[in-house]
Amino acid sequence: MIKKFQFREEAGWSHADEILLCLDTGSWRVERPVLNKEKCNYCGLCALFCPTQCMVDRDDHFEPNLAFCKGCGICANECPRKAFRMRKEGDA
Amino acid sequence: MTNRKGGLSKVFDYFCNEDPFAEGLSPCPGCPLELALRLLGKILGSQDLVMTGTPSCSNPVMTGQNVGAWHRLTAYCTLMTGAAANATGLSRQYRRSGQDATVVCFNGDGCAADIGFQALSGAAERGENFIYVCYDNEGYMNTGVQRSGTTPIGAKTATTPVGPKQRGKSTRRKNLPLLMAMHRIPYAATATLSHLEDFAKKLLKAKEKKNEGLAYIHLFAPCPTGWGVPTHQAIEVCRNAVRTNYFPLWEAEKGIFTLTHQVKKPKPIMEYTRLIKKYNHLKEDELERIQEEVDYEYEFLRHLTEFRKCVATKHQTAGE
Ligand code: SF4
Ligand code: SF4
Repeated sequence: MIKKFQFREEAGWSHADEILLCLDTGSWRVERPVLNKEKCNYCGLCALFCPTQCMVDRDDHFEPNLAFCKGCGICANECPRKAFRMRKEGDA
Repeated sequence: MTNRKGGLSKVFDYFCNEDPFAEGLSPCPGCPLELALRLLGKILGSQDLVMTGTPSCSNPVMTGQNVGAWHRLTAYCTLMTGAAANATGLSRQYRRSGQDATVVCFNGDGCAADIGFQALSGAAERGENFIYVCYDNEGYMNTGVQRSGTTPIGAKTATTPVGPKQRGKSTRRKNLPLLMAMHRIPYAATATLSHLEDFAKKLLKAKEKKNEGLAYIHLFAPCPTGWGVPTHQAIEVCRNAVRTNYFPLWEAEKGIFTLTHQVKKPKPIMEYTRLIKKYNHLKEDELERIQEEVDYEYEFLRHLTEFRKCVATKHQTAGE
């Protein structure tokens, strides 16, 4: 169940035992990484270098979590096999 | 600690702890600082990690907004002038009360090299037991890209513009990691985010060495927004900084230097500067000047690494 976040008071500290603050960084994206599964050999470099660490391990490849992927393109640039391609958001 | 899956390389063993941060954080797309923060949590684990930091790019994330938190680490925000003094107090209190905590003072270059340098140098001299990580983006990026003590010569910033009277910064950068190593602290090292295994090893070593005194890590972290680097190239910039010897990777234990990554054929500095907009204005003679700086600093460092041999023989003869 998702609890609704509410500020209970103003203070100089923050409560990390509650649910965490989180931005909708997926909405920042102008390009999204698309994987060509045939080229990927599951080395994991894309996941390692992804600044948001949003790559999900799918056992034989990695998939960006598009809810948080900022579309920076580092995964596509760092993949030694050029398996990721950046595609404009909105294009099919 | 391993829960790596079969096919993945050994490197993943270093990054097995849970990411203590929320999924959506505020750093700009492609910022290596976000990677640094997340990996720091993954490498050191969040159980005994106590972070302290100052107003900087990392601060909005580390401190939280009002009573909301972005992560599950213990974090304490303080002022730049006293960052290292603050970490001193924290680490001493934890030790005194018998708690085994890893205090990490995480700051930008503005705090480490300029505003908070006296506190840092003092902590190094006193041999305080914490890890100081300086993420070096070569300027005051959070406040609008002003130059700092580690901004290199020729770089364009908001306060060192390019025009008829001035062509970027006219003075050379402080070599802060070298300065820190010269305190002969138990551990001083440089690291960057293209060489992640190296970074992880150094962090773990710093965690061990901090029991003997201050451990310092200088983390090269380009700022895509402030330097004018396309978001997808930030890691490549790190890699080329190492390959051109602009930012050599080394460690020093009590003043004994070792190169942790030897570059066989260093590339010309052009390979690094061409990726970055803040160097766009550079002409050939200016590039040569930067190359000279790089060569000088690298040669200096190489001589320091050779010093190890002299010390070894001296100790041997002294022992005989
Ligand atoms: S870096 Fe490329 S080859 Fe390696 S796992 Fe990612 S997509 Fe596949
Ligand atoms: S585009 Fe950037 S944020 Fe998105 S998955 Fe790739 S590296 Fe991660």
